[in-house]
Amino acid sequence: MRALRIVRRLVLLNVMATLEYRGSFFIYMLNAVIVPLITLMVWLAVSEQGVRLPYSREQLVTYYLTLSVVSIVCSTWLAEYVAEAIRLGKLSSWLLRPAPYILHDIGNNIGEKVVKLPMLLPLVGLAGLLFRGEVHLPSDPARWLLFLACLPVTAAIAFLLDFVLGSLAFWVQDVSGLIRAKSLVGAFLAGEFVPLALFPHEVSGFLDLQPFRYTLSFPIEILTGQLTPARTAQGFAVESAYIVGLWACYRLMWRYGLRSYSAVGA
Amino acid sequence: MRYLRVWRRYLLISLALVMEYRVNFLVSVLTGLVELGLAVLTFVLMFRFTNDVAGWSRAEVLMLAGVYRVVDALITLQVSPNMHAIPEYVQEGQMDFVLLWPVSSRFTVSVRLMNLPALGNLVSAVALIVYAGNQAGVRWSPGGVAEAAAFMLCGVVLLYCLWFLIVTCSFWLVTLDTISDLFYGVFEAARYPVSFFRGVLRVVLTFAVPVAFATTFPTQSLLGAADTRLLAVGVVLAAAGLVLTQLFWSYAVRHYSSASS
Repeated sequence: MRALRIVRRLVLLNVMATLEYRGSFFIYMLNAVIVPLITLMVWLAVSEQGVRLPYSREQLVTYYLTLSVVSIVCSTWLAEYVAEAIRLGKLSSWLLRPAPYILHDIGNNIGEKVVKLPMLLPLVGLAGLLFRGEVHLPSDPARWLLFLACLPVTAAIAFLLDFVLGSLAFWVQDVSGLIRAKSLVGAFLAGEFVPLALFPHEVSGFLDLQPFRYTLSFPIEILTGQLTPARTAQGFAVESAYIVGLWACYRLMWRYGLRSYSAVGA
Repeated sequence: MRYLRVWRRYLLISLALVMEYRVNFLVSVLTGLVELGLAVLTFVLMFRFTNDVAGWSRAEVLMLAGVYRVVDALITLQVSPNMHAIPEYVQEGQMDFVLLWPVSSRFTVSVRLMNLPALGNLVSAVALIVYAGNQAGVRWSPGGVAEAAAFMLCGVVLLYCLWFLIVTCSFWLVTLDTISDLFYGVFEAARYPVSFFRGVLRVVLTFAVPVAFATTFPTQSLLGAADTRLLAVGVVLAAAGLVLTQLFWSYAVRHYSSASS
């Protein structure tokens, strides 16, 4: 309960800080819409070759417009900051506080998104106007509920994955290359450029189990409606396993990491 | 001549930096390879469904992916470090010093910083162009390569002008320190041939936001399918871009309220 109160405080603090830089965040949001739109155009060009893609034109449009929103809801940017806090000793001041350091990043993550989303949604709406009549959102409320239930879990997996990666800085001097590689490979395996449903059938077993599907693609797949109930259930099971596994990783890494932490002031 | 000497000095400083942080070079080359691999994989996945997209075969698109990596390396090498720094100069008042130096302020802010590790990515990019080019049945000729290089140079200059135009606005939008990021949304389009886009968008991407000169036209030159008249258009556009941005920059600098005044 106390942790919740602290997070609420931190979120408010971050909302204020983010509002201060609203112009900069607006530019991020523009890019968050433009880049998926460009990828969408390319796939539409492919679909116009008269070939049968596993996705119809409408599904492609819906996929990439939803991707704009989901990618922001589930975005993370903290690995670099966690690593920096550990390396430069900014973490030390947090060790004195009666709250775990992770709350700092949770507050920052939610706080920024609270400001980003109201900026993003009108832009996605505008993009939707460009494709009037081709956006097919489900009318089935059950699917919306599943989607909405899935979103925070997916965001949490993306967050924990980044946090664990940044925490490697307890043992590794420079993790920036690793972080960069993860963001490239992660975006690809999360279906940012090629929807996972368009990958060859032979790798679908691997795609269903690898973590990056559960940092972006899975909720979109639920909403664009191409998952059988069995595969949806299986997805939720894998998602839960990742949450538990990553949380355990985080706890273990920080227990042992803090012992070997030797930056300024520790 | 004096400008060339100044640039050489900047180059030596950057070289000293690379020597200091050698691991950065390795990391840059490795992540460059990952980026290249993912671009190739994307196109391989795309061409599972069809043998040609808007008149481009898989091998031709892979050549373009290589050309994009070359352009990306050139931009990362000389352009992007400087474009990111300009809003900072304005915000933190370092423009004061820039204006005091006895060289053109636009020259200084545009070339001072170099990210030399980006050079490492040229090797893999050229390797991809050669490999995919052979698959596409390119008959390599010095003329074609020179034409491609000329197109690419026009493209890079035009992209620089566009980016420079955007960041020059930071004299008015002082708090907007991410204004340079606007460029990346545009640059994303350079990954694909312009013919993948239709209608107005294609015209925009050819002339207004000239990514076509950077990647599409050079690839077509290598394939022997470029419209040579466009090269003249590119040169004129690039020259006009340089002049216009110079005018805008001089106008903007007059609006600079320095840190100390």
